Amino acid sequence: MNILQVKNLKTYFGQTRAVDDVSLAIEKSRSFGLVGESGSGKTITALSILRLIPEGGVIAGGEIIFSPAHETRNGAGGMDLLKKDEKYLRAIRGSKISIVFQDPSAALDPVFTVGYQVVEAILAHQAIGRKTAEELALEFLRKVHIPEPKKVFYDYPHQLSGGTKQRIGIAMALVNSPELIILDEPTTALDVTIQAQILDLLDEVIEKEKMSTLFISHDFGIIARMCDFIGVMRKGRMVECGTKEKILNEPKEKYTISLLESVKALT
Amino acid sequence: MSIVRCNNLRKYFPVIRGLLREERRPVKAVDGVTFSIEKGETFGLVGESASGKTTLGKIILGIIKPDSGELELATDKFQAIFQDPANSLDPKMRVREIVAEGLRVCRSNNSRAGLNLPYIDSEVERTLDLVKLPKNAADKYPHQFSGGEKQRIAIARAIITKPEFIVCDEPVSSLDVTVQLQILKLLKYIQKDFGITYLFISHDLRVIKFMCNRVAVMKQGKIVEEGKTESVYSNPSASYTKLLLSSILDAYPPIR
Repeated sequence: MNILQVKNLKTYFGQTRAVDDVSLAIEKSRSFGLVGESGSGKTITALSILRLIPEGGVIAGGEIIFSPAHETRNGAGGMDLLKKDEKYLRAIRGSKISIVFQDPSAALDPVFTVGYQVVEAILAHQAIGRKTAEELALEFLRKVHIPEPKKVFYDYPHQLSGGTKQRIGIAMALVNSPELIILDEPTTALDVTIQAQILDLLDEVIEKEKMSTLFISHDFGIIARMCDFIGVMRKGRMVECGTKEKILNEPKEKYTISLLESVKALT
Repeated sequence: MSIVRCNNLRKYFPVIRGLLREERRPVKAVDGVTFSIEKGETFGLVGESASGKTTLGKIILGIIKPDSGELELATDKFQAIFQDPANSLDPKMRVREIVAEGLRVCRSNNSRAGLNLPYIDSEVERTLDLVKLPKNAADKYPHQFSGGEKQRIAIARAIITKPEFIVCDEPVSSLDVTVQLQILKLLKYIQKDFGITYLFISHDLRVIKFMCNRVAVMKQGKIVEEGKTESVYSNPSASYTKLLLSSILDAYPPIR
């Protein structure tokens, strides 16, 4: 079963077709990797799903069918997120579908403590008291293996390292038990050794929670490690799409082959 | 023959904080580094952010003065290629002026060939051709080029002075992987043609492996391991090198 299905998505910025007729399907509890070079439309695809595209961009067509458990329990099919209003999307963002961004320093607000921001994310979507929310926040800081979570709770983002900040970004994406988590280059801003730690953490939480993920990266190595399915994008188009084994071992499209050859030459 | 020889180089940056401008514990950017680079080789400097790679590169280029230690350069014809070509190229200058500037500034070249315009023009065109940029590129501005093309311009600017030694500081880190490969191949080709020696700084172990015959691994201002690239990669001795190498992610992990 698919948790999310993107059909013929078109997102345009004026004349620029940032996403040009892209289709993909994310199976429940599986990981779909979007790989491509800069400007290929990976991030805009992700932002289109959440309807968070930057100013100037318009979704010109397509469907984004989301099938969360609570909506499909009674045999009902998924719903088209593009047909929902802003109020509904606000309720979905950060709860049913959450996102982890590339740069954790930009994703966290510098003037609030870490604990305050995690609690805020909880209170925005869950009807619980502040005390309970604080305990929940602490629990998630522990879950993402933050050393001294009680201290970090009262720290400001600038007091923390990049790796720790990204752990908090991941904790915030998990606190509302989402059904789909979008990871947009979550380790690109980090050193390789820290990257390895964060990927281990993601492995662990994705496995444990049976999370469905959309993983975006320019790095084939990361995508190969983290994902079951791979979609290769270029210039707004989906060049090729299939299981990891198929894309890595029997790529069909010229572009995928040339991309993989560059990767191989540098290993 | 060594083209660069460093002995116990040290550079600390003072950290001044607070209202009273108190001096705190300094940042030990380069902390007692000794190595030499042989003529014709590509010496790699690899490490994570803030390990001191760039500071060391700048010391060798003479941009930063070390606090102590000795530095010997066997040539005065050296150049640099930096990470972000969008920043290292002046947006208000045409490519022709950017590439020619080195020729105008470098005394040793001027005295030999004189400073006549046709000579400079022909040199610029020849160099742009070498880095595989079209002839009409000379009259354009940097913003009209892609990231990879901009880096080609930076390479042209460096090699037009016929340097013997180039410090390449993360020259492909801001580029896509297919473009990375093109630029790395270009750098190799130029090296073969001109016998240039490279100091190649990168955080990317894969790029270092592709480019360098010898490598030094830096951590917190110190070199933790140095040796032939092959032996460092296949048989690392420092625990930090092992950690770094185990963090590489291959699209095709070796079958065990």
